[in-house]
Amino acid sequence: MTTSRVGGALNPIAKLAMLVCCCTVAFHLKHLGHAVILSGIILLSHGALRIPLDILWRRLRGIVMFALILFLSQLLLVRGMPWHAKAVNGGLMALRFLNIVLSSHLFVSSTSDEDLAYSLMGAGLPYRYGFTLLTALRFIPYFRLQANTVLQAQMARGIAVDRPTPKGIYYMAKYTFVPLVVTALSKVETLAISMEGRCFGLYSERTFLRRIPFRWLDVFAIVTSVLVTIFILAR
Amino acid sequence: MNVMIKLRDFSVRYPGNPNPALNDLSLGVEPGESVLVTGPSGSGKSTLALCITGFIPHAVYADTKGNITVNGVNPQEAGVYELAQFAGLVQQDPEGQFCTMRVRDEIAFGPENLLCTPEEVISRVNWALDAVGASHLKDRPLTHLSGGEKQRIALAAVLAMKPKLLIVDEPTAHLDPRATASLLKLFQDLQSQSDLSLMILEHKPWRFKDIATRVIELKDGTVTKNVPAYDVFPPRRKQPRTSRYGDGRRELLLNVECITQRYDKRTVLHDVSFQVQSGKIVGIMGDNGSGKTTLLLSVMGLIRPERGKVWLRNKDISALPVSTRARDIGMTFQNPNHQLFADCVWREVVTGPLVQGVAEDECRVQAERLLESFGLPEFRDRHPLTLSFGQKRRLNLAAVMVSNPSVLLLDEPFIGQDRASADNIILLLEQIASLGKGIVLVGHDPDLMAECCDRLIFMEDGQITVDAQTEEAFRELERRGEYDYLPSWWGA
Repeated sequence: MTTSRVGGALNPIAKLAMLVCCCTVAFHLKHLGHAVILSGIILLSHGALRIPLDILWRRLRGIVMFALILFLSQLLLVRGMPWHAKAVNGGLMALRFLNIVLSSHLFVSSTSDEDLAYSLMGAGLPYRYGFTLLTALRFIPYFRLQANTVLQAQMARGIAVDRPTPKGIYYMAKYTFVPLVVTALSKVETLAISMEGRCFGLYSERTFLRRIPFRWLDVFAIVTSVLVTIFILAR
Repeated sequence: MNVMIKLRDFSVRYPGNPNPALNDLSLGVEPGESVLVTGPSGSGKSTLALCITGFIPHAVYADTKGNITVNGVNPQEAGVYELAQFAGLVQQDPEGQFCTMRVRDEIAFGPENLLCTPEEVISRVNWALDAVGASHLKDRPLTHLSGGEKQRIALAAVLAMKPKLLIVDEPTAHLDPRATASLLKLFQDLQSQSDLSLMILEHKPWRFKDIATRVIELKDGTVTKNVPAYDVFPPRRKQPRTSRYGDGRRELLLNVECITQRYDKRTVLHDVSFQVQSGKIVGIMGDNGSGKTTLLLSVMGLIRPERGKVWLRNKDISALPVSTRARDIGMTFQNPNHQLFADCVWREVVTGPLVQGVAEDECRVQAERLLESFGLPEFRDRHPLTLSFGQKRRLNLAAVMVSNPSVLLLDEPFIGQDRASADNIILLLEQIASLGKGIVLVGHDPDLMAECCDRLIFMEDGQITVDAQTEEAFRELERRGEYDYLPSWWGA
């Protein structure tokens, strides 16, 4: 059957391997120029996947600001080093942080949650664990919606969430926790009955209608990433 | 053998509860029969379903006594998995039952667990989708489905297991009348195409009069009625409210003027205007997704409309924050659990004033008065979450009444309520309205809306298409061919 392959033809496991390699390299790089080249490659990959720059900026502007703070704190707070060395160190630290976040963002933007779970199960992850991941991911938007409803219910009762004060924030946290936990527990019971009622766990194996193909391209991507990483680490 | 379900002197008792949930129950269901199990909340309907499907005692612990067989198998001895291969349970909340992200994956989930071949899984998915009339939804993400569509997919996911017995718990609780009618037709079709035994657990039995062959009524865990369906569905002949029609000049409390609201690029409310006068109960009906809840949220200020104004007692409150509006407008939401914050009932009633710094002694006096009015004084020190669904709903109402608002906005207060609880709420709303409050009420049940509303608003695609006194509104809906929205007694 066809699958929704967001952003390219690679299997999510191949993308995960590339992400691990990219993060390892980002940690290891000692030259500012190399870190800049890595940033360029990651940004170009965003472009290749047609992720618009304005969306990228909207999602990651907080992260960029944090990287800037890292750079400035190195520049202004570190003593006993020449300005040039402090700037290089700060730049390297900020770029290391940015490269890891950007490559993770690239992975998340190009991989659907369900494809990742199904490909991990296809690669041998026991299906009970795979479905634990899948159901957890499924409930994230649901609980976000529930949390929003609880906040609305608080506001409608005159608990001033719309004009937050320290006391208001305390009450908001306190009064959000209980209803959300109650909702979560009721959902867990419903879900458990639903899954067991459809024989989840009856056998140690199960049929998978949805298969995420693992091609030679994926093997090539993994091998190339690992070799490049080893080469960089060995230098 | 020829019996699908057989219970003889069967009892169930939950740990820590002195009263049995099911008490010496004896009943039988034939293959291909369609049985409606009805009764008030807490009468034992869901417990019965859990026993038949083996979840009691294998997943939910309870003491059982007596004999039970399902398709010749004793659920007490067989595991849940053995039962699941011929007895399917569709629970009340379709959303909570889904464990995948897409329609096709969800329906394939059961057959995949049974280790069917991929060809067999595909065949079952196609058959189940076809059976529930949802083949067009096959590739959709589950989050993109409407309430009615979710209910169909939950049903298809169980049908794909090819059960001989299908148990459905309150299948219409969250559906609008149009989706309800469509689901009832689906049950009829399923039964005509196979020898499926159907057991429907439902608060509102009259909706199923064309499907059920037999009605079993439970009360306090015992069978109080077990009769052919045609014996228990006399036409209901309640008249709509007329007593408050034209009863003099009333103060204009709420004036909603030309509200327009968009989500992304979709217009969900389009130039919506209506008024509410003191002492009046105004009902809002319409399909799921027609904009009813959005309208209430806009009036409360929980979402800011793109255009339009809200006037309260001739004062423009459009720019006021929600916390200020909450002094004059009270709102309750669909799920009572979302609105229970405190650790005991009396504190729950006065959560708002306590947060605003009003002295605890003063709050306690106020809480006692409201608990008395809402019939909850004996529960004052209980945890709110230990109350029944109907009691929680009354507690929600008491809590919003604490600020003595002029207008109440109630989003589907009758969901999950049995007949007695619904009557209780109607009585409370009438008492509140008699104090000169205005009430705006969103609901799906035409019978209940006819009984409690002075005026009805009908919404379609974010617009008000009917706004008239109740009887006149029903006449207009009949003229437009909206028969699903007419009360059961209409035309009788």
